[in-house]
Order: sequence, then C-alpha cells, then structure tokens
Amino acid sequence: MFEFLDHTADVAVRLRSRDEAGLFRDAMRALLAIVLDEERSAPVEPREAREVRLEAEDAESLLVDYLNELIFLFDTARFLARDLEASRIELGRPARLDGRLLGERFDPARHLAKTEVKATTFHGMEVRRGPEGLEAEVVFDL
Amino acid sequence: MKLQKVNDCCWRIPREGKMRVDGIVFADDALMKSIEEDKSLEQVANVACLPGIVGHSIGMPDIHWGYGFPIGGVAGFDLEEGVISPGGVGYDINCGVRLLSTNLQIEDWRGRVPDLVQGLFRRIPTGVGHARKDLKLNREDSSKMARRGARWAVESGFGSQEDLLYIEEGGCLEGADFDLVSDRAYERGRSQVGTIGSGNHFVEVGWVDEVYDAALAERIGLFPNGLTVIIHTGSRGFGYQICEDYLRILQKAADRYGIYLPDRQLCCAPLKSEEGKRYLAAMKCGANFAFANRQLVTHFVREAFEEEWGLTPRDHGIGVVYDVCHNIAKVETHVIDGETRKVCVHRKGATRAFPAGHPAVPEAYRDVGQPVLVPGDMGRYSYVLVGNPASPGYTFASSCHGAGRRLSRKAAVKATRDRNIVKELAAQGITVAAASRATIDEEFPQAYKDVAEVVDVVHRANLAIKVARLRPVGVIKG
Repeated sequence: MFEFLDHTADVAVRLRSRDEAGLFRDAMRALLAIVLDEERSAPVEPREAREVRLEAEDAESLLVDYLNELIFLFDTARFLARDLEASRIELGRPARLDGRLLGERFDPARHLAKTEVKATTFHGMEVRRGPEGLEAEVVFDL
Repeated sequence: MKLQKVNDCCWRIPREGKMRVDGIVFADDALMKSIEEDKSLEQVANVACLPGIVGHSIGMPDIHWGYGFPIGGVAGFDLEEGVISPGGVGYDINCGVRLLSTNLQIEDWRGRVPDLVQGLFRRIPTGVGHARKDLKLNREDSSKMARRGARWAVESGFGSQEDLLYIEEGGCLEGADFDLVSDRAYERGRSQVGTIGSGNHFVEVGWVDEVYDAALAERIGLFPNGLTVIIHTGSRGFGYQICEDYLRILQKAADRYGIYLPDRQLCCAPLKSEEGKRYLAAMKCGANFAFANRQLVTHFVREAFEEEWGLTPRDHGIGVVYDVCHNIAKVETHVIDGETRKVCVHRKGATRAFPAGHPAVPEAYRDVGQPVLVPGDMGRYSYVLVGNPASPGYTFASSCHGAGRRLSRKAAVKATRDRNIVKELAAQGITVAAASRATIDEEFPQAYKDVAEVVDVVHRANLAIKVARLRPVGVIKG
C-alpha cells in the first residue's frame, strides 16, 4: 500500500508492502496516482508489456532508478505502467530487478494527465524491513 | 544551530561545527516564523559546510525546503578550492521568467481576454505530455539549440535579434557541450521544446496596476495600465534528465575527492575536476534549452495576439522586458571584501539582480539596473524590481524568485474540494485555461504565500528596488 504525506513543495509517499515485488508495485501505483488524474480517468489496462532490467549499487538506488525508468517511459513513449511481473528482485549490493512492466499507452480519450514528475529523489530514501514487510519513503520532485 | 536576528529583515546562522562560513537569511519576523516550519535553515547551514564557499551561505525571503540546497538559496564558490553541485541548481535547469511588454492598454482589451487565453492555450502546449506537432527536434537541431540557446530560436525564425538583447547572458551560455548530454536527456527533451509543463509553470496575461517608480518603470518599458505577458518555464525533461544523470556521477565524485557531505543530496565535485567541468558544460546545455524554450513561447504569444486580436506586430509592439534564470550556476566576477574575484554562483530559486552600471546589464538599462521578475500566484499579483546599487556586498547581487508555497498539494486539493477555482477566478476577472482541473486546485492562489510580503523584505533589505506591480487577467497552466 502507499499513502501520500504532507510535503509543502513536492510529493512524499510512504510505502508499506508485504514483499519485494509488492514494494515495487506499490511505488509504481503511487507514481501513477501523481501522473494521472485517476478520479477522471479510466483505469490503465495491461495491454502492453515492456522488459525491465536494472542493476544498482543498493536497494535505495534501485528503487530510484526503477521509478525514474517509469518516468522516462511515460515522458518519451507515453507508456503508463500499472503492474509489474518480476522474475528476479534482489535488494543486496548490488541490487537487481528483472521483469516485465504491464500497462498501456496514454489514451487522451480515456485518460486525463495530472502532474509532471521531474524525477525521483534520494531525499530520506531508505528501504527497511518492518514488522509487516518492507517500508520506504519516496520524495518525487514535481 | 543558532539563529541571531541582525535587523528587522536579516538573520544570521553563526558558523559552528563543520560550517566554513556563516549563514545569512533575509526575512522579517512573520516570514521567519514560516521558514522555521521546514528544514530550510538547516539546509543553509549544510551548504555552508561545502569546500571553497565564499562569503556566506545565503537564503532569500522566499526560502523553503529543497533538494540538498534550499530553494531560495544562493552560494558562491572559489574557482580553485570550490565545488559545483547539481543540487545547487535544481532539476529544472534555468527555470526562469520572461516578461513581455506591449503597446496595448487593459481598458481597450479586457473584454477580449478570454479569446486571447484560448488562443494561447491552443498554441502553447501545457500540462503533461502535450507537445507541438510541428516541433520535434532531431539530434542536429537539439545540438544547435543546446549550444546556442535563444540565438538558435531566433535564427530558426522565432523572434528577433532585438529580443536577445534583453535576456540574461544574451540567451546563450557559452561553453555548452552537447556530447556530455545523455541520449535519455535528448529523448526526453526533443518533443518538449516550446512547451510549458505542469505544476507552477504558466503563461499569464496581465497589466501594470501600480507603479512605484515611474521613471524606472518607463525606462524598462512599463506604463500604467499597459498589458504585459509573463512566461514561467524552464528546460523541461531535457534539464531534469541532465540533473538526474549528473547527480549520480557527482555522488561518486564527492566520495572520490573525500568531500564531507552533511546530506547526500549536496553531492558535488571540485570546479577544477573533470566531473565538475563536465557537469557545468552539460548544465549549460540545459540552460540554453530553457532560453530557447522561452523564446519559442514568446513567438507563439505574438502569434496569438496577431491572430486572435487581429493585430500587426507594430500594433501590439510586444517586446522582451527581460528574461531571468532562477535555477542556475554561473561563473561571475564580484567584489568581495574589496577584492575582485571570479566565483561560481549557484542560484536555486533565486535570481540575479545586477545594479545600474554593471557591464552585464543590457546597454538600454545600464543606468537603471537589471530588471528582476518575481511572479506571485495566479489570483493576486507579480512584481518587477531592478537591481539595487546599495545591495549588501555579500549577496552576489541576488534577489528572490517568487512567493513559495504555503500549503502542500494535498492540503490545497482538500481546501478546494467543494470549490470551483476557475469560476472564482472568472468572477475576479481572471480567465484561466488549464490542461488539468487538478493542477488548478493544487495551484489555487491561497496555496501560495503573499508575494508582496517577500518583495517587501527584498526592497527593505536593499536587494532590489520595487518598480511596478502586475495584476493577472488571463492565465494558461498545465
């Protein structure tokens, strides 16, 4: 799950997820909720798949790279990701993510965009194990 | 961290711990109360820890929390001992403001503003993912634009040579190297030129509703009741990606050069190092993209006035008053403690405010000073100031850049849930066209602090001189 926190200049999200795949899926959905005006849009359907393979020095960098990849795909190919099928996620050093992003191209007839996200920041970024799984806080620069 | 009041609009954070210099923040009591609610003062102190910082770590009255450096932060670094930091510039490299003046008077055109706003909205893509179909740059054009900035735009038929005279640095930072920009940045930027984006970016039609110094106003082309246009946008995805790419590179560089970072987001590299030089040359590409972008938007504004209102260029007389960067790092010459020195000045959410007589001020304004443009929110007003020769010697001739948010986006959406902001603004005589209703709610006027309070401190602290106030009548947003 994810929840938005009060942050004056940008947007902060707290993620609480049962496992690795859940963390990356929740992070994706938080980003989608910023980019898309979900109240005034049809749901994003899993019509298209895109491969994702990422490697970073640690879990935090992997999460930042992954979200920045989603921002890049939307910015350049108008691809909105709504689900992740991960074949491998390792949160060690290095950290790795292989899998498929499921979603569709932004369709102006069905979707209303909301806010442009410039990037995912490292501010306060820490992926930690909590009592119910994994937790992280992410600040997006808008 | 201690905070000492110096006078009624200036505070000092005395050097302690790893700080190399004092912090100085310009604010009155009321602004300081709200500044203390976030961590921006701590960020001023953090910047003071960076190697080679010259003078002070400075905060403007509109300071608020930013990524690494505070927004509203100014810091100069010695070219030999100092560093350069992407966090001191921000993601939106050369985000900035351009002000246009016209020959037109508000009374003659007020009734036709809605047509003009629709015309602007059709021509200038706003919001997420909107682009001009006729503008998708290939690699060669992107490279030219990155190297030549607004000059490239004028050479490509968008605007006139005269426009270039009234842009900071003539609309082009020399030394931009497109080879140092990633393919990803090129991909993100190529279809976003000539667009505004979302969030706080806008194009606003307004009029001069109050003049504080008639002689200064007249010299920069502003007359009572004259129609004006403000353009607020930056380097779009091109700049964001350059920042993102170099944050990673400079995080590693900071480790390699053994630079103590009180916050990972202050990552930086020595100005003399290869990494530092490369970031500066890539950043200049982003800055030039933004100059070109505001030049293209200016062209579309002129087209809208001509086609929607049936005017000729001679009728509307749209000219550039000035174009300032408020997210930038630049090597500048300043007199510091009586000594003339070159320093790399980072201004993040802060503008340059050179006074009369400075060689970098356009010749036409040389005896009045550089115009300083401070936009407010979409319901109230914006300000035009000029650099003050009596500016304190240690601010690198800098000023504020805007109002700063008062409410988070979440709080703004909550506050507007049962309201129709477009209708409310229309009732006040302001026509708004936006790509997204949600953006209007997030950006409603009371989400921002009153920019008049910020400008008042700037004026009293001698950072810049108040010249005129502009009121909005039409706005397009993301």
